[in-house]
Amino acid sequence: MDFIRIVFYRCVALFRREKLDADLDEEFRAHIELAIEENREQGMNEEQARTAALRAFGSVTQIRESYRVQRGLPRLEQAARDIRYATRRLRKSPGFALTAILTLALGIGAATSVFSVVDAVLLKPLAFRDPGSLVVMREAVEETRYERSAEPDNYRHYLRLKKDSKTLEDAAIFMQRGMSVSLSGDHPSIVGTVVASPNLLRVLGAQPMLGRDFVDSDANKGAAKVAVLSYEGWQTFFGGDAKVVGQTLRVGGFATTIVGVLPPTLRFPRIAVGPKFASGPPCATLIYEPLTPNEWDQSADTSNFNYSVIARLKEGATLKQASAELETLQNAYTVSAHLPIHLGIALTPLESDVTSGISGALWLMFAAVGGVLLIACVNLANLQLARAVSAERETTVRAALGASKSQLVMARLTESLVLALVGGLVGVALRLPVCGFCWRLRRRMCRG
Amino acid sequence: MPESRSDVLQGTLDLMVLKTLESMGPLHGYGIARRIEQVSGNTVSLNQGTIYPALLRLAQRGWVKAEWGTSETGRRAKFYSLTGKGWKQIEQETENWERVAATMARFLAPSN
Repeated sequence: MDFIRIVFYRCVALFRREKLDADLDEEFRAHIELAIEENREQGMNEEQARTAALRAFGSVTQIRESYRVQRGLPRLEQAARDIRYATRRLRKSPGFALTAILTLALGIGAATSVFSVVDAVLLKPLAFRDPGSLVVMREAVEETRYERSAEPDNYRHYLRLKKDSKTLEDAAIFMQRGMSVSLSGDHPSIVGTVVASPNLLRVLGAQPMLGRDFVDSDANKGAAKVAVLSYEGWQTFFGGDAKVVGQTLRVGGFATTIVGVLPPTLRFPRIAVGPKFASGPPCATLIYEPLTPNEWDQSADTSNFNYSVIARLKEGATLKQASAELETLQNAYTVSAHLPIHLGIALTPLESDVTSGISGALWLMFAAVGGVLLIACVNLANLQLARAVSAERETTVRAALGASKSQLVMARLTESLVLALVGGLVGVALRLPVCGFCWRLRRRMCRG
Repeated sequence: MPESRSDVLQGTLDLMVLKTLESMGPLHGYGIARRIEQVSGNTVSLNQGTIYPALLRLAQRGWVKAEWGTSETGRRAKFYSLTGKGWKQIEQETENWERVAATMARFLAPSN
């Protein structure tokens, strides 16, 4: 309590410095005059009285200084002085200041830009519930294994595996594709959509922030066409209109009713259909639609490998156990259905599947910009060293005038600090246009 | 300068100031400094000015408060007086000092 009070007292004193200084001078004057009066009463003459009074008082300058130290926040005041001094010095040599700030800004700008991407893609890629237990399930076909290790999923196989498996909690099947979408007669544009079994969001552990999730009857044949928008899709087509639920959008030529909007954190990743299958640019998913299986989906067993599947492992089940179990189920089905091909399974954790194509390149880029930043720092340190040497005379003068060692060091350090701060701010400011550029680039790739 | 004058120990000055205010009532800086010199019988070497940082310290802790007033000779001066907290502090500091003094006295007493 006392501590807070004292700090408060001192902070207040900082802002009333002039008034308090005047007060103190007045108080000292009163003191000396009272002393002179008393001395005169004791029989001294005017001059003797004054001299004696001043001698008894002690060094006015020294006392005023220790009074100020007691009154304010001397460290803070010193720091403020250092900062003022550093900015003055930098303004006097704008060439150096500009070089230093630009060097730092570019280094920091590059590093933060790449870090933003690394952070978004590698460090916190998926905002799903317990993303560690989500897996991408693909089928494997013995006959094509020499060519590629996995195939997309067949609808019938998915249904059966989902029903029989004891290691999977649930699984959702879907297809990612570009669809022509327009808002009541506008010029249509091609946007990323996910057509999925109605349980997709439940498998991911996500919920719409507006409206409702899909229900199983949405996928029934002949059911009214409905869609859920991603946050981005909501912004793109409806400008974030709060009354979007119930409005219609033409998706693939059909009037489709919007039933829900997903939160901004939910971004559906691009899942490659399988290895060695070309996948399009990483377009954002704007629209989710329920998947209504057609006749072919329900009948084909040896063709129609057209889908992707995301499954959630049961609590306690490992990827290895699931792989073994599903492989067994696939083998058994191959035999019981007398299939001419031999089915297997290929599971990968969702997180590594999503980043598998890019993580190496990204880490390399991150290391590269880290190296650039390091070089920038070394260059700057050299420049500062040269400056310190050339300012030797000034330092000597300051020392001769009574600056303490720590004050001299702090003066130099403060200059570096000011440079670092300004450079850092400019660098972080640079990050925004760079990231904005990447964003636009991605959009162009998707639309074009 | 008598040889027996000694510098004021940090912390002792605070108690001297508080005790002075206790016995004299509100007083200006000069009065406090003079009173300390008189009571100590000039055995304490005190630059009178050092009383001011000490007074500020006591004010910051809330033990004394200061107000501008007029001296007996009609001079405008800042008068210091004890606060309620200051009275309590005197009790506590006095106790501390007595304990220290008693302890030291035991060490300084001629051994039997």
